[in-house]
Amino acid sequence: MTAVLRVRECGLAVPAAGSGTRWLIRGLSIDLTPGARVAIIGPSGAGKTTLLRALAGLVPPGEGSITLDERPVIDWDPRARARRIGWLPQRAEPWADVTAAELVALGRTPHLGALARHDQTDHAATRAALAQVDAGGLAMRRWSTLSGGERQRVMLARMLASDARILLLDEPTNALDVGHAMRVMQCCDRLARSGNTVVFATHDIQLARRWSDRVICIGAGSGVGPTDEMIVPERMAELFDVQAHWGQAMVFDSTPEGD
Amino acid sequence: MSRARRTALAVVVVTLVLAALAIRVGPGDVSWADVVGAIGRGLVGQQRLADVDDAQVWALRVPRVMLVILVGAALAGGGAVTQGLFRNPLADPSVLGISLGAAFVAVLGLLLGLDRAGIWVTPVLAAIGAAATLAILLALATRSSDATTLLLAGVALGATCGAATTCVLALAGDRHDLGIRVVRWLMGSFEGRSWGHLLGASIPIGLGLLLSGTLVRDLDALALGDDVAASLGASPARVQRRAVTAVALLVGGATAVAGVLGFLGLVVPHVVRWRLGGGHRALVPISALGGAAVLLAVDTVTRLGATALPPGVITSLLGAPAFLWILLAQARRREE
Repeated sequence: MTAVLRVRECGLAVPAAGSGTRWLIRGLSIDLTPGARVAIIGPSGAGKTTLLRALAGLVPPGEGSITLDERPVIDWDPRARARRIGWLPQRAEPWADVTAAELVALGRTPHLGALARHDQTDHAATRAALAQVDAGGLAMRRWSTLSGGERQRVMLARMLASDARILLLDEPTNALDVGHAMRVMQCCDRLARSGNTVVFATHDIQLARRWSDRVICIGAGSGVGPTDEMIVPERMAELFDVQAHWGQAMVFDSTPEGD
Repeated sequence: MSRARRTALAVVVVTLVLAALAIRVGPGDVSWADVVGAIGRGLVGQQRLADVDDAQVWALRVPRVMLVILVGAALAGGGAVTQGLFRNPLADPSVLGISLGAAFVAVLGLLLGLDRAGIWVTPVLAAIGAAATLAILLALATRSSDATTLLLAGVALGATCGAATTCVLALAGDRHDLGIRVVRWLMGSFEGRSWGHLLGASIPIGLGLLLSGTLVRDLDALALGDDVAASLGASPARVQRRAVTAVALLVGGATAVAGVLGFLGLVVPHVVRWRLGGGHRALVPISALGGAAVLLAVDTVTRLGATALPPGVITSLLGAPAFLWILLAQARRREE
């Protein structure tokens, strides 16, 4: 399989107190290929969101390179890039009380002309995206009437409507209960199986362990590797400054009738 | 036909009916036949200037009505763009300080007596004020692409220009004629506006409306914030510069010919968004049409009275309670 989004010796920095910069990440290299399921974990403020923003081409890396089809992702025409990379931010609220369908239709923006006319393809993609997250029935509901779980699914559909195949999700299960979180992750899983690249940041180690094949750890003891090798007590202890050991945990699964 | 199209059509019909009434009513008993005759002759360039009715209709009322339509469309369309840019339903096009900047330079001209050189002087000076305010805003926007900074800068510019205008008036305290002229101009008026005013205003307002039309997709993309807009391929900094320019053309053009008219740019887009949703593809043009209809109704009503009230007073006097009522109705619906 060919690499689509290629990260090479990448470093991300933020301005530090006084003059100079503080490096969040250095020397990160990973190939994000179709079908990949990659989790980003690390303590709060370590740089998970910054990394996702850099992968999305919203900020340039401080050193090294992030390329999409051999071209730096930051140099891409924004609209062409938006057709390839979808991004789900941690928090985003519409300022007007729009319907779920209107919100999901925003995902079509990179395909629209300046006059924003939606044709049959756009309507079909909007409907398909809502159906993909089991939110077809929410289409005409206004944002203010949606629950937290419904809102997250609508936002996920908004990202999917763009037809982008590289999906970057910043804490997609944040503030969701265990059932809704699982359904969101199952949806991501289906997307990865159908050839999308799924990269998600999360605070939930169990979730990362279950739904990813590779893990990027950011912070003390940062690194990249297969999930089984990365999510082990020694590394987690170092990463989060805690004591960690294996134990028993409750396992959740979907009910027999599916989602 | 979609709901947006039906609404647009209904507003166009209402505007045309109001326009016909506005041309008919007023001093002098002009019949419908006279109106049609005068407009017909005017269109083919054969108007009989000696005829009082012809002069009344073609030289005064037709340009006035068209100017009212243009200014109403500019203010309400500019309001829709401003609210989309700042992601705030309470933003009014005046928050950018354009109208107060225009007013300051115009008042300065009145103080120096420049307006005696011709009726075009005050509008041109107001346009210069609007352009200068725009230049300052754009210079600030290139330093910071943060919308809140731009909003606060606009409010600060507006406050400065408003204070400077008051200062000019205070310094010329003994010149009562000046005070009256300034207040009259600030109140907003369509009295005595001619074809020249209409042609002059139609250039910036026409450009502003065209620019607004090309912004609808990107204003939609801003709905979820700058980062999401950028991830959807719409550069927030670029959208901001284009939107500020569009609003300046619209509000600057409107203020130059009609003075400062309040509330229209706040209420009309708010109502349209409430009824038709937040998509700017429908919101911007239908707000513009709605603004034209509302201002035309207001201007026609003010002309009926013995003392012509300034339309700016009426838009605020009726607009503010109407706005309150809408807000309460929305709150009620949310609770249901």
